[in-house]
Amino acid sequence: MSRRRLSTLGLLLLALGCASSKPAPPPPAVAPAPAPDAWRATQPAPLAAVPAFRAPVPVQRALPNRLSVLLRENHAVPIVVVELAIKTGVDGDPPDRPGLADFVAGVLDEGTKTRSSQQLAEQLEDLAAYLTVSPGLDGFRLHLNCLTDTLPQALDLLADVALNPAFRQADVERVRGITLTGLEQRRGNPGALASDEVARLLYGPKHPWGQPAGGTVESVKAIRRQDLVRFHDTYFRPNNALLSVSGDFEAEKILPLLAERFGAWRPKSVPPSRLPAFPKDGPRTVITVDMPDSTQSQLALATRTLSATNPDALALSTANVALGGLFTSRLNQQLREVRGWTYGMFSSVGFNKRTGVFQVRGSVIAQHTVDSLKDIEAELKRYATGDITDAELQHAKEGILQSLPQALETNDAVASTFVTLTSIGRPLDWYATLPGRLGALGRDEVARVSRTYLDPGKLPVVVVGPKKDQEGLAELQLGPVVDRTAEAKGLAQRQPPPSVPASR
Amino acid sequence: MRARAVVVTWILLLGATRALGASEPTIPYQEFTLPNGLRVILSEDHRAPQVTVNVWYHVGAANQRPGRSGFAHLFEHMMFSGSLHVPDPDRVLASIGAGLGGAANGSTNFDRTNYYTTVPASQLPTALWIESDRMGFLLPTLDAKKLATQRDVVSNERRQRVENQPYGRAYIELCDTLYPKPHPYFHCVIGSIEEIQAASLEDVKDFFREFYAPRNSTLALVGDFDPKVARELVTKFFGDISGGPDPKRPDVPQPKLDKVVEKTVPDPVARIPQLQMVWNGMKPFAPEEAAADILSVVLGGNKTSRLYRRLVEEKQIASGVFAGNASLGLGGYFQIVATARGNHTVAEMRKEIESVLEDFRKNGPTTAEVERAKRSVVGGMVRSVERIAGKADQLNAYTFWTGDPGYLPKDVARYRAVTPEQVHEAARTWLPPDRMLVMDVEPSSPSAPGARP
Repeated sequence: MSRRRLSTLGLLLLALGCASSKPAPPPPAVAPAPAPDAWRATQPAPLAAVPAFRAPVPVQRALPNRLSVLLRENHAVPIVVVELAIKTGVDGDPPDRPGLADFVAGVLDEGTKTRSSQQLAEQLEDLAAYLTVSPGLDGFRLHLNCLTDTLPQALDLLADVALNPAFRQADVERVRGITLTGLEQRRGNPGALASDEVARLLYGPKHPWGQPAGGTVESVKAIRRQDLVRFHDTYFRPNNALLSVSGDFEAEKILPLLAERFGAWRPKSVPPSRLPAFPKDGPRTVITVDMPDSTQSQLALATRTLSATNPDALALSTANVALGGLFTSRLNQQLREVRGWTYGMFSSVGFNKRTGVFQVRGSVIAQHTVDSLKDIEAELKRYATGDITDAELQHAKEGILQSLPQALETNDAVASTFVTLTSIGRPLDWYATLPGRLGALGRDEVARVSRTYLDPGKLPVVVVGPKKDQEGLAELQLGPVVDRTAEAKGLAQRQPPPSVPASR
Repeated sequence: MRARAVVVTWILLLGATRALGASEPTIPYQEFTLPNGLRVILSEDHRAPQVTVNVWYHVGAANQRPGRSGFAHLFEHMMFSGSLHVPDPDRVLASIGAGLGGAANGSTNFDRTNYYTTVPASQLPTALWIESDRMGFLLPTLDAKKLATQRDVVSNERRQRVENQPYGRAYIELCDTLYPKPHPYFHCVIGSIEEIQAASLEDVKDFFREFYAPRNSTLALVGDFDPKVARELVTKFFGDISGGPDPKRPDVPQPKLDKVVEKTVPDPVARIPQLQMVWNGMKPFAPEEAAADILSVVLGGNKTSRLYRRLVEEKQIASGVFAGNASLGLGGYFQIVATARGNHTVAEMRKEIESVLEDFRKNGPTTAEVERAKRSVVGGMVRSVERIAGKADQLNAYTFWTGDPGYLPKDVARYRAVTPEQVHEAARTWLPPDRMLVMDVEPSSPSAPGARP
């Protein structure tokens, strides 16, 4: 049990900004202390400044088949991480096949043309390597972590999984059964239900991103082996991929290893994505899903904001930290430390190349569901006037800046970060140059962005919790209350159904 | 559950160990003890301009009084509520860039409580200032209002982590069955809301006086510092804090199952039935621990494990299966957890698990299985040392359990030394068919497909 949940503000999704290196603010005022300890009442001065952290920037290479390669050497520990990214993910799902990309990911490492599922698992475990396949809204990540001295063998396995998956019918059926079980589990899970509702609201019921995470029961039952093979053949191409490597290797030596395994991968033109437009902002609504036995209500308020390359993105990230990113931020202070109604109430922003999401999220004791929404609304309204203080701004910037060394500490994180930056359209030196940009960010700019993007007047609200504790919800006048219990829990005939979690 | 291990520097060893495919992890360190009894471990790591400060207090759920379940953890929350000279530590931390993500936090488990703070290297004095002030001066500013708020926050933490998590309730049932009242592990670390709400200001003060003192804690610093400067700073901030009473390790006998106990646990947020089989376990670093850990990997650690192959791949009656050995200071537990697939039942899964176990008790593992599991465990030790925060916690963990902060190479060695015979023996000794807890977790929401009418 820890005191606070880790904030969902993983650096990877954040476009965070950084701070000037001003000294810490003056110490808080304290009561007079007993004489011998009086010196303790003053916050100690910092030590002499050490050289600032410099975020890693990769060397860029390419194989003859146009496969991009990003390399960052780090000899601190005998580990090499290789992340092979495919630049199409859930956005490649056909309209009648929600969940296809997730299904591909589920079967991909279940066997290749020359290795059965068990043989593949045995060989990975024998190397003490691990390989994970994660589908995302706009890409796949095949993430390999291996020990330095087994790199060639581990790379063999990564390449085999990426290039030669077998999609054997027996494996497809086994994964289908497990996937359907997982979808059923989500129907009991308040957090998962809220995520699916948020995705439907943000992206619309016709958009692949607006579908339930992992697809629907109907689509998962309908997906055929041929769908998986076609998806793989279409999108798993070197010209639609990226290799990101961080760890204990030498660039001259690893390039031939990569070329031997990925050099013969044939390019093929990838169809441009034809995604439907995002829905227009309609009137504000409050979506409820009844969980009669739950002791808490899961709350979410969310909206689309702007893409990663929008010039306002950094100011928005900074504004978010002050509002709901730190333990001391307004939302958590009010809902947790003043009211005691929650274990944590935070907000987050995430960006991709098409859009971004701002979301307030947390679980509150059921009996204070409506009171909590009222408090959140009041905090948001006040913040959207642009009243961020200088201290709040300084804390937000400093938090962003000082979280970089930890967020980029492991090879896993560094290799993944390079992929994220590429996928959302930011330069590879984004974090290395962040301190300068963040230092230049003024209070007025952050206030302006708060007014523009964080106005709660248009934020749809999702409440997953006991209906009996929602008395007074309509009187808050946040918008018409729509009960989607039947749809969310699969009790009704599904329309071309809902959503995908915004945070994948 | 104990974290496995952490590494910092690497000594390449040639010869026999090379065959296992890894260089040898160690964490270089130096240590000293202040006159008040505070043991301090310093480990330099200059990769980034950061330093992490990690304190372990040798107190956890194990030290709670009957009727005060959840108290050690509630107390942990109070350590963030301000102390005499640092009334608002969270705001100070935010001002130096430690307010985001996991930079500053604490955690409580069955046997210990830790507090950790990662700050820019230049702010080491402020991190030590905050940490020492709450070690020495917590009580003067504690009041009933602060306690009341945290009782509510922790109650909400329980709702979030236990009541609203599928299968969360089964974990409480596990603790209650293996550690019946008045055992201090009753209700697990999180406790019951009723008992959390019953905690008084006097309870908090007594607990602080008994357990929160230099003699009952260790301090580890890892990161970008000059050890001479670090030593001076630690001495300045912690040197004049009173050492506290003689540390007492809790000594409560481990209750033992003497038959098969079967329980049905209704769960309103689970939608799929789950089977849990649980046996009495051991203490951390017990002589059989390494073999039991390897046993858990061979049985249910990953895709090649016996249970995964039988239940998920061959019979296709489970959507997932897991085996784990949790060593705890007052005696732990060994657990197998299988979640059904589709409409398959707990009874089907139990039959197959028992069949796998029966075969294993009779024939034991293959050499290949044991070697594979050993590589996986040692590989995990290699990776867990990539982070300074992980190293600091591991130094304190080794110090607490073995007395030796430099235990890491010995830890690696004890796993490498495990033989197939020892794993076979561990299965026969620790997984008896006639002394276990069997829990059938049943979805109880009326709309769940697996719900019983």
